[in-house]
Amino acid sequence: MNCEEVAKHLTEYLDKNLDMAMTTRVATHVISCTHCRAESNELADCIQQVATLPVMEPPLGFAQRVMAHVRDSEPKASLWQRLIVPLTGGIPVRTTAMAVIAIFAVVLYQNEPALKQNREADLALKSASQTPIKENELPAPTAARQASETSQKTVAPVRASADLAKRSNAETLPRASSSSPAESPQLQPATPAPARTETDIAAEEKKEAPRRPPLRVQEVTTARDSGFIFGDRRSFIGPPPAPIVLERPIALGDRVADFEFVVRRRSPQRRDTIENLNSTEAEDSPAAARRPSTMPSTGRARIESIAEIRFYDVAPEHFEIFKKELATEANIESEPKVSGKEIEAAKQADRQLLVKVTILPVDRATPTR
Amino acid sequence: MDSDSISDAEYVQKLQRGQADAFEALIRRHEKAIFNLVYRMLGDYDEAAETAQEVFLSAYRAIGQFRGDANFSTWLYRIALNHATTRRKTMNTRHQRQVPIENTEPLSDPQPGPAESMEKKEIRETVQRALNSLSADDATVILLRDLQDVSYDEVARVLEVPVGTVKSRLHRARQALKSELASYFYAGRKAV
Repeated sequence: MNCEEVAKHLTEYLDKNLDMAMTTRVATHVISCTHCRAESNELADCIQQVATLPVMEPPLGFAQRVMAHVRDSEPKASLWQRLIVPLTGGIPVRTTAMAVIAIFAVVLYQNEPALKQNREADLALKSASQTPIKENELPAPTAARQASETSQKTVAPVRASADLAKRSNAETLPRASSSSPAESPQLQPATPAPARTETDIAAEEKKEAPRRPPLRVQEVTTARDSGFIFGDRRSFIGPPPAPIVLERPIALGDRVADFEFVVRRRSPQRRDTIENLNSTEAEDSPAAARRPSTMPSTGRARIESIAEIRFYDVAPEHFEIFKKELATEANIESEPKVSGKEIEAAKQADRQLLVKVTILPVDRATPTR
Repeated sequence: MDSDSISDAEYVQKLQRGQADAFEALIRRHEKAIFNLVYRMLGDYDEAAETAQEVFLSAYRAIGQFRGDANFSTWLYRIALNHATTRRKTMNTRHQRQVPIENTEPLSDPQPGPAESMEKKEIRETVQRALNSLSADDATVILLRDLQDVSYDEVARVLEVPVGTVKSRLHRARQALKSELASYFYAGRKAV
């Protein structure tokens, strides 16, 4: 080993950081080489001088002074922290806060009449939709009206029967009977309406109708149409097994229909169309309905642009019947491609099909039946 | 429980959980090493006291960032060297690196003779002056290794450099210190 190599390892040699073999080699050279020995001694002396520098004591009370600064730098505990936090002990603060919020929410809910009313209405709707209304189970006032209607059979039997169906359900299912989103969703007290004549009803409709703003699309999702397409009992009188019943209330916007039909009305059948505003008895007659519409009134112009969307829950096995009935009631302009697989899948899943029917207004340019 | 039996890591965990008193134990354990390192870097007792205090306060503020990957002492040395280097620069611009005459150093030998005491004091001042004249990097590596007896590996962790770099830097620093001390220690020897 030469002096240059020794110089490279001299620092580690003096620190005793070399392995045994290298230490021996360096030591052998240092002993034999005057220059390297002198260099080694001088470096060792330097190390020794630094290592033997006296250990200085920090100022008296150094730690306490630092701790005083530490405590000063900490934010002062608030009154809350000093008084309350020690009492909480091991209680997890977040869990406690969540529990308090939950209790507060329940109390608020129970004390808020509007919320409570809504819940009652929901429950009523649910229970009503689970017990389908059949023709022979209509409430007494409805039955009376039905009797009077069948005895009259005069002006517009179709419309009257549709009204009947709607009214009967409106009395039993107040929330479900909102025919327009503009109407109040609040639950109305179910007071039995006395039997009224057709003229009374018409007069009442004329009085109430202006309050409804004309809407381009009406969302009708009620059980009042159960068993009747378009609310027309005449055309959908409980064929075989059971009437088509809307079993569950479906929130607006949550609907994804399984099938969608687009149909066009053949005749004016709805009582709540704005037709009532300006129309006369003569216009409501089937003859007038067949007449091409050339009426220049603004009300009629609006009516013709109104479409209606309805949703039906249809049992898979009744789908074909539903479709036939729909075809008898309206001109089907667009119908879905129905595969047997979907029907079968619904049957197996034991769920009803949600059918969306977009009802276009009567096309007065073409003759209806 | 004896405070000596509790490791730095345990004290750090307590401190991170909000027990500020644990920090006092850490200060007491490391104050001497940190103070001496800083003092030898600066060569001024009052400056060293102030800087050491800043070092511990910085450590306290940053304790949340200490992940325990390294020893607490390693982390503390790193903070101390950062503070000392910064203070050293400030001092250099202020005093042009004037080495104060220290009257505070204790004498290690009890009852030394007046001549011996004077000589030792002179040697210490010379060594301190030599350390002050070194670059901060050189002084740092010499003080860590030769004054604090920190291993090569830990010096590497403190300085955040490879061990090989520590070796070469130490070799260079010792050569520089030897050169600074040569006129005092080795002039007579060479003359002989």
